Amino acid sequence: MKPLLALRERHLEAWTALRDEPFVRLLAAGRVPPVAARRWLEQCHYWDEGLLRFLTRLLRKAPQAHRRVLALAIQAIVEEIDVLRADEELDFSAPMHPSRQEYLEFLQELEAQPYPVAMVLHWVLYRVFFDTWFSAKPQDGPLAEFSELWSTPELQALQRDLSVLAVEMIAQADPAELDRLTERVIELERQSWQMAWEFVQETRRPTLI
Amino acid sequence: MERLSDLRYRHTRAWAGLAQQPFLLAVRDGMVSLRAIRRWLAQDCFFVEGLMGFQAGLLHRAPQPHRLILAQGLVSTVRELDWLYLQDLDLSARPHPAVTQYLNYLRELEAQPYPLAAVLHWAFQRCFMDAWLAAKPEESFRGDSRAGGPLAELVEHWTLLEFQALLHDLGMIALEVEAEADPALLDQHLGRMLGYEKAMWQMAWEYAQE
Repeated sequence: MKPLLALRERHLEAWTALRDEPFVRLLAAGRVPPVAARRWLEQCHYWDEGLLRFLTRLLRKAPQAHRRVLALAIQAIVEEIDVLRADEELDFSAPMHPSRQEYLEFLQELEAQPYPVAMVLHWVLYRVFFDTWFSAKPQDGPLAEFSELWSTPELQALQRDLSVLAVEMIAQADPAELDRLTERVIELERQSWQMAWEFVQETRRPTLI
Repeated sequence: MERLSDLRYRHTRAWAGLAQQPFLLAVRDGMVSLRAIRRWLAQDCFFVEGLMGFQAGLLHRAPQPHRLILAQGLVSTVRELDWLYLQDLDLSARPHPAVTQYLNYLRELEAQPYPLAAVLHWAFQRCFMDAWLAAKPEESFRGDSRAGGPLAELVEHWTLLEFQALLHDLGMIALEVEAEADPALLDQHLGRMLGYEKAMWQMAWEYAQE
């Protein structure tokens, strides 16, 4: 894990600053308004669809030794989409937020990267997100069930296996490129949390009626 | 599965004819050398590589209720590739024209509407399995799997209950979307696909004869 941790270390300040995003603080306090939580989940659904596409492309480029783990990661994301789709209160026709659009475009850009770079960045994507999420680890409120969903032993084992693949690939990736793309991921994550904060603020805005 | 049976019935001659391919009959009679089987498996490996790519693309564009089954299909294909790569096959051989044609066809199918691609995805796995099971390859080693080498492992893999259940679920998906596919186009594609399957068995027979 050392090379991956070194990558995180080089971006630690921006990486951990995500914990201070206002939405993340609200998440930690279990005080996300239900309407904002739903709007955030609707945007998560777009993200999961984008990630599914990215993973199916990554699988096609992967060496055989990596494919089983990637196929299981695809299965896991399909199951997560199932969970979202089962929530009847979510509106999947809600328009995609511009920051989400930008993130999905970035994923498509990553698809064109050499496999080692794409594989390491895949680790960065979920590590940045989960580090932030589990710093808040909401135990109450409308999003608490996701803390449980994302800490199952199966998902943790899958994440460990994905880390092993990323460690294997990191030496073959251009470090400067990894740094550039990691910076972009962190910025896109920041924008995602800000999008969620916008949703919170919109629920608080007084209406004229 | 009624409509799918109709589909199979309309192509019954070509479909059932696959089980009569000389290679399969020779396998059952224990008349195929291990060398020929390994050459066939190397070509199969090229095909399964293409199949995995096709399945990944199909999964991505599938409606959500179909995706979990397709994801399980993908995991199963990756496992099959794991097994093939463990066989120490000569993968420096070039893909046989029968394989190249079939792979080109799979790429073409990727550009077809999802219902057509999903039905064909079931059909080519089903007709392969029908031919394989009808030929009773296990008779070549009389059920003694230790004597059967890679052939016995293949028989075991393809007759596993999980694999059969998966094939059944893929049939359910095909059944669900079949009505959305243009019947004439479906027949045309099925006819072509059965031709590619036949060419694959003929390729294997070439190896057996050499």
